[in-house]
Amino acid sequence: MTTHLSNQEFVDAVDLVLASDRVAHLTVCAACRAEVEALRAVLADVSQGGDVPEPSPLFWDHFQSRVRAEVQSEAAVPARLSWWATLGSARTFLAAGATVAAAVIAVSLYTGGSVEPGSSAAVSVGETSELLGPEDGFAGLDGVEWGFVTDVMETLGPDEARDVLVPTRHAMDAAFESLTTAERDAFVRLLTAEMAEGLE
Amino acid sequence: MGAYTAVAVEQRAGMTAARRAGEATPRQADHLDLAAAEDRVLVAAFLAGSREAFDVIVTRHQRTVYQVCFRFVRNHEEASDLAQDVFVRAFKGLKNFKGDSALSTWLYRVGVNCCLNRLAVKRPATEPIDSMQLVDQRSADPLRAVMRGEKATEVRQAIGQLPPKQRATLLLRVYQELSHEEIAGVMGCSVGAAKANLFHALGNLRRLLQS
Repeated sequence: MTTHLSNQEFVDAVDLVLASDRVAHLTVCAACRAEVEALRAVLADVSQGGDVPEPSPLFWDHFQSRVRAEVQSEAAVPARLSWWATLGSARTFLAAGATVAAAVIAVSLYTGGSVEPGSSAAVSVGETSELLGPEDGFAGLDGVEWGFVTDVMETLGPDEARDVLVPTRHAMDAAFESLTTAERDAFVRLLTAEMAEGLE
Repeated sequence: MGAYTAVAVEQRAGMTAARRAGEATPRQADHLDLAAAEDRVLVAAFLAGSREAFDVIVTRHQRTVYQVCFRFVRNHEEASDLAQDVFVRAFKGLKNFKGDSALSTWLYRVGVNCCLNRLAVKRPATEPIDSMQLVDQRSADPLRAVMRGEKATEVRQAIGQLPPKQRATLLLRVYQELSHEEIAGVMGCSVGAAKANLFHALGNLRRLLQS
């Protein structure tokens, strides 16, 4: 007597694709035949339980809109960065922050804020120090402001510092683009306050 | 900046591949009759930057994807959330679709993974009472219709108690009518394992329905 059908062969038997030599076994083995019949009966029951209620016709239009909106919001979320990419991002942010700071300073000077030569103007900023001087008008900053600027400048190379101090329109746009919404809001607040102060 | 534009960088690789393969470029995709295009053409057009191609993919497959999800969770809201998730994942992952299988099979795979993930973190939902009583009382034989409805509910509840992979295999085989080879592709297993899963699913169902 041959061996009983395996699990896979039972499925083949239900599908009517059992190999002929195994069909021969099935014809003589009541136990295997009973198992196949039982499986077919369960399948017949299962086929009764598969109804899916059809959603409203409006649902599909709504669904497509939802997918489109979700895809848009997903695309708006920046991809998770690796640690080295994060470092690069932080550096970019720093450069952007310095550019913004320079813009604030420029606005402050342009709007005629109180400009008193400050002793802190001579603070060394490494290789960038030759770019700065009281004649550049940066002397109007108080100690805290100047400290912030010099801290930022010390982290930048000469080229980056030059970009910060003489930002092109493109660089400004790029810097502003790289800010988050909250940072942009903060920047606008800062800028507005500076301008208001200058007009007083 | 549009969402599709935002991910264009990610799609450059796919676009290059599509061009190399002589498939649609964005300009060519504009002139394609996307609604009538085959899935592989839509995928190529999408990878070449056509957002309309993805819309057509969604339109074409949304019902099937929704039905698969619904059969897993038996709840419209959850099924529509899952189906949405499937297409969002598809949007992000289509660049990895190699075309070895049909797009529908690939979407099944994404869908089953979404459903299995959902089942792993959530208790299976019980079937709402109103869906158990959707029997047309005007039918020729209301009693028989009621009994058939009760049986169907019993079967659905029993299916809901199956281990997730057995349930997925059963649903794909019986309701989506996938071949064992396709199921193996969707489930990421051998054909033998897919058949064994189906055998165990049917055996477990028999016990559940008898008890």
